[in-house]
Amino acid sequence: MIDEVKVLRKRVIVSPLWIMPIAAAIISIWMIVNGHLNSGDDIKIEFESSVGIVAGKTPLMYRGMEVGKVTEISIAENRPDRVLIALRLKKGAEDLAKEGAAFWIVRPKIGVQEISNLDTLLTGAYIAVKPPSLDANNLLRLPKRNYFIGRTVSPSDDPCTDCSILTFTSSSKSNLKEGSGIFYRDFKVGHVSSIQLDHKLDKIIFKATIDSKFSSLLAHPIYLWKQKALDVDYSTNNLSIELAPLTGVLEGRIELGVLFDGKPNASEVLRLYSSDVEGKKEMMRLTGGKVVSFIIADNSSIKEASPIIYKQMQIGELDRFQLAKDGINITLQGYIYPRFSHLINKRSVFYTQSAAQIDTANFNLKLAAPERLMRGGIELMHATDDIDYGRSTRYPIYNSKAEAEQFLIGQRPGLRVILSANKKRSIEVGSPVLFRQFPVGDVEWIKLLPNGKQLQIGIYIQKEYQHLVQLGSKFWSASGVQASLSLSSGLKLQTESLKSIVAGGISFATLAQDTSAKAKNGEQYILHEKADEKWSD
Amino acid sequence: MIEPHLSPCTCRTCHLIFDKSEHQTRCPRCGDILKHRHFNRHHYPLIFLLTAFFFYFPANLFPIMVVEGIRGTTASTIIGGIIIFFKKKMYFIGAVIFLASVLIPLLKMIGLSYLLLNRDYSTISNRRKTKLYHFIEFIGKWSMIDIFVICIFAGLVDMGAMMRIQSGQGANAFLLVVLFTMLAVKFFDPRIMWDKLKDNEND
Repeated sequence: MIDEVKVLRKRVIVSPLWIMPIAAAIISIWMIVNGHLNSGDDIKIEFESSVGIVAGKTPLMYRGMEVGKVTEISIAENRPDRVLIALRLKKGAEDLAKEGAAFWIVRPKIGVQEISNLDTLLTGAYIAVKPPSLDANNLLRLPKRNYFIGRTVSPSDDPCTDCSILTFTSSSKSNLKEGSGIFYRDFKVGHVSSIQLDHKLDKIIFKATIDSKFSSLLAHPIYLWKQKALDVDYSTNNLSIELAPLTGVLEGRIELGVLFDGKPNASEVLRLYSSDVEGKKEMMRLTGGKVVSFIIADNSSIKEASPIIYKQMQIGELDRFQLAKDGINITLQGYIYPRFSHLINKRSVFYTQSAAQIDTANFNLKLAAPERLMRGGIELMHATDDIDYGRSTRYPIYNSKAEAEQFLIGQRPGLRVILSANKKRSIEVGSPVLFRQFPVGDVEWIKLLPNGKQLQIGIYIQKEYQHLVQLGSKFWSASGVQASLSLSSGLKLQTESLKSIVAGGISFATLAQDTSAKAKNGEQYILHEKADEKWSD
Repeated sequence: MIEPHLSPCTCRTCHLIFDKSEHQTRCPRCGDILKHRHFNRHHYPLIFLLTAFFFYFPANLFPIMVVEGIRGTTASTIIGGIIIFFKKKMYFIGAVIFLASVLIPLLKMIGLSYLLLNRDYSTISNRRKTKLYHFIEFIGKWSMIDIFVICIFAGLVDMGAMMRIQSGQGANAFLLVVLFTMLAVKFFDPRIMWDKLKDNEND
């Protein structure tokens, strides 16, 4: 019996089942080694407070991913006012713990303007990390650290390095605080990231972060202003009360304005202006734009912020109306974009273009572009001649192109004399003044004297012909056809140019013997009904 | 004592005792294959014990239960869980878990290896060996309580993002530990403990 047993025992030498403990050993060793390799470095971060942080639970998050876990919370060595949070990083996340990495605690934030990190209400606070660089090569080069000082606030709402930083100064902090929004056309484009007194303690330095997607705005000259909580404007026809958005009043709000024309002045430190107008004016000045003052009597056809147009191009824009000191006229300012600023000179004439123009003479109806109908605006016109009418500081705005032209006519250089006549005949404003049947000027105005007996006709002679008018010059009406019948000479038909027949005109001649003196402006002459024969030569 | 000329044998299935000297290969009552001993399998308990022993390390080092909640993921090892229970002054539950998950598998493995190593020469009496064997057999199934608890939790607590319980890597290893210790006990033929004694007596 026993022999049989011994034979059986010897027959099986190595069972294939021995593979099982070997496999178990290999699997276990692999699991342990792998698990050990997967747990990354231990780091320690100093914080002011560890409210909401739970050892063994609170994760370290990076872009929504858990990259580590708090292992222990203790009071910092030699710093009883601070706590030390020990974290274990996950494998592969060690690169986050390089010199310059920022750690901060994310807790729920509930404000008027924003409610953020709401998820942490339920999940509890977590620690966030921002690596010192997003470039893999830079990150590799940085030395490894295992001791960090935690931040009190996040470097920005979202860890981003391509955000632009704006620095600007102001004399008062008012209600601005870290996190106050920066708005461009009511879009939030960034926020104030830090507020500090400067070293001389005389002004406040603000640092703001502009989101990368709006950073293209910074390629233009920008200006910042602080919107007033309540803006009562009594200068316009209507009393206008503007209330800033309530959130802006509570949270602080900075407005960003952009001049889309011109290059930003890099050396200039931005200032926080108290109003849009002030900021825009200052930026216009800094970037080489021109601020033009206008004075108008009637602002019914102009809107605030209307464009200034020259040859169908917008070259600037108008600002707000303000009542002039005299209480009658209205002053307003316009900004001419830097690249058009050379267009504005003392010869510039501005007029409002009405939406529809009816030219009665030619039965020509002209409608402005729809956009212009909506926005209104003023046009710029240039005098052809070099006229100095000494009003370069404040430009009047004429109500129509015709008026502006009329004004320009009145500004032409040359001689102006007054003729008195007893009949108007066919003379009209604009009728030519002829010398040897050649037009040298025109009729500027006609008026009836208050006594009702005589008419006065103002005529203008071009500058280069002005010397032709002498004290002894004779003026006569050149309108129509003059026929005289005399026995001696028979029927005589005397005509001026065809144009003067139709339009009427005034001719003049200067007799050779009367070259005594040149006429002065405002010299008075008599308008003869017809020419003496000897004048005509 | 048993008659020396007889070769008594017990059927493992129906426990019929008869004389195997008639070269019977099958049980006359139930027809099961008859063997004096499972000698060709005497190394099975050792193999299973070793396998269980190797899996015992990851079972205790790796998290056995992973709780995914909105507060993040918490993974706890067996020891870690027991420490939490004790810290929260839930001594009874802590003790039960400690017994079922740490002590019992450990005792089982130690006891079984003792029995295996002392198969041929004995420092303790047969009675004690038998007692030890009964104890090991009795406590063996209780280790499964851990796996059972995890299975129930994983099935019940699945509330999506709010809370989810999953078994960790440690649970797999622990399951293997329990499984292989049970197999080891199952393949351990207690009769071999007494064979040597019988041989000694024969000598």
